[in-house]
Amino acid sequence: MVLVGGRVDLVMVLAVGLVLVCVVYLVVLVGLSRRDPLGQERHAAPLGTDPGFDVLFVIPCLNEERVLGESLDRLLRLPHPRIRVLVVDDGSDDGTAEVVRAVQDPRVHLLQRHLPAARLGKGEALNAAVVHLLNGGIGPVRDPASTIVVVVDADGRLEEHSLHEVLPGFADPTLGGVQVGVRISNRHTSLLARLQDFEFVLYTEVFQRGRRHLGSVGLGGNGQFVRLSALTSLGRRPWTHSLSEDLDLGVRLLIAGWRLDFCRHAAVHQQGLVGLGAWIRQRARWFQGHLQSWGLVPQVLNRLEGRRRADLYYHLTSPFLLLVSSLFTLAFLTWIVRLGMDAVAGQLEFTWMWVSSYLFAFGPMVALAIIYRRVEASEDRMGLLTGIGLAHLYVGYATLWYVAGWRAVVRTLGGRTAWAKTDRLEETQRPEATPGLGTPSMGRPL
Amino acid sequence: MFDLAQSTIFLVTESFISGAGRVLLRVAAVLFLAYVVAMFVTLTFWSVRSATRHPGLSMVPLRPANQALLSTAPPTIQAPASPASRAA
Repeated sequence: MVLVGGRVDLVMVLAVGLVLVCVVYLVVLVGLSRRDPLGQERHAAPLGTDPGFDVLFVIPCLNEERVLGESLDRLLRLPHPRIRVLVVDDGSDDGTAEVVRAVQDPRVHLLQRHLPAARLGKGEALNAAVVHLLNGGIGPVRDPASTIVVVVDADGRLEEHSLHEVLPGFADPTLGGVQVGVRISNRHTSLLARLQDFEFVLYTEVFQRGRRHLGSVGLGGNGQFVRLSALTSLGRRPWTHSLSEDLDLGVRLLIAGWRLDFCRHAAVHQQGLVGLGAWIRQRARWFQGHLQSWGLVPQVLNRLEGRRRADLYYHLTSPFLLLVSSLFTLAFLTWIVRLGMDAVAGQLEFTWMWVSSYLFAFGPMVALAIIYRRVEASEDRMGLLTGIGLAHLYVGYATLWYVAGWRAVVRTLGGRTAWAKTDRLEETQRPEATPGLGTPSMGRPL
Repeated sequence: MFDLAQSTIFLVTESFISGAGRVLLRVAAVLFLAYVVAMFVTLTFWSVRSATRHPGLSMVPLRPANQALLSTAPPTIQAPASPASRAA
């Protein structure tokens, strides 16, 4: 494969090199992710006790009347004595504000933004929430260092024990933020949603947990716990206009000297997309946001050190590698087509390259399916063959990122950054029936 | 005649696909090589620079621990105030 006519084929060496780099990085992170970093073991408080801190949930909303009521109901039943919920209605056309006003609970507050000051992006809605909070809009803030802002999407369902798992960790004054796991609530009813769940579980179980050792944990847009003093250390408007404001915030907190952590013992459950078009749009938006975060690379290089710097540099620039991978994949597909034509012409001969290509393409995912099966086993038993089949489907699913990536590149080159918000599905489950709630679905020891 | 045309189309298609594959592979390989070299050079440069400009740089706790937050008090969870009390 690498030798052509007795000479080394440099192009093939590089192609194999790219795959090997990815596989080695994956293997290293899988190895790291199987244990907790020293000194960062689990610090959960028992349910029924006060885990400390004041908790402020912020829910940025744009036309969320379908799902918001259930979310508020769920949050208000979390066992913590000092919870407040701030819903930011970012110029909704629907009955989002009415849903909030109908909640007869003094802990729920509404901040309404109106056009043209509204719909300027999730980051701006969150900034408005912080300004409102600091201005005393929902009552006094006892101490920014002991106030934890929790960003939850309107369709987010935090597991009951989440606060007791996450909050004790904030006793470390250098801890700026914690991200919990993300599960897809409708994974049982849609294959696309199931593949998104596979993706999120692998991202959190392998990459986030592995990055705990490297000091480069990232924040997500849902289930994001951030100390208020960490947010204000970035200024009164801590979020930027970035399309991936969560990635951006996490990197800037790290640059500012805060530590970020990932809590695998709790998760937030959210809706997965069930339409391919919507999925591509959402991932193209994320990808474009990731491209925007390249502006942080100089600060990462200048302000961070060692493994954290190397990993964040790689992470921020990884969209480039994904685009390069798309070209390798396309070249690989032309090879498959050639094989098909050879088969038609009756000239097909077996070579071991078939086997090695298959193992390179599908082997890592089949191995990672073991991790997914073990996480999923806390709720549903998944058969071995189903897991292997899912891993194969996931390889095809992952190639859809190429479409999203190139679409994002085209939009970036065209200077277009406006995106329509992803629509929610009608809620069909009562909170009590939400998968994983009340059970530590991400907490199974692996 | 038909067989000749068919085999010609077959060969041209095969040749085109092979050529396209080779071009894609070369472009991707060059881009990947550029990425690896850029990453290696950048990280090496900044590592050397950091070692000379900021020897011993490390994270400094931003605030001392608040011991009051570390206590695990007995259950103190109370029911939220009623709407009536809020109105009052």
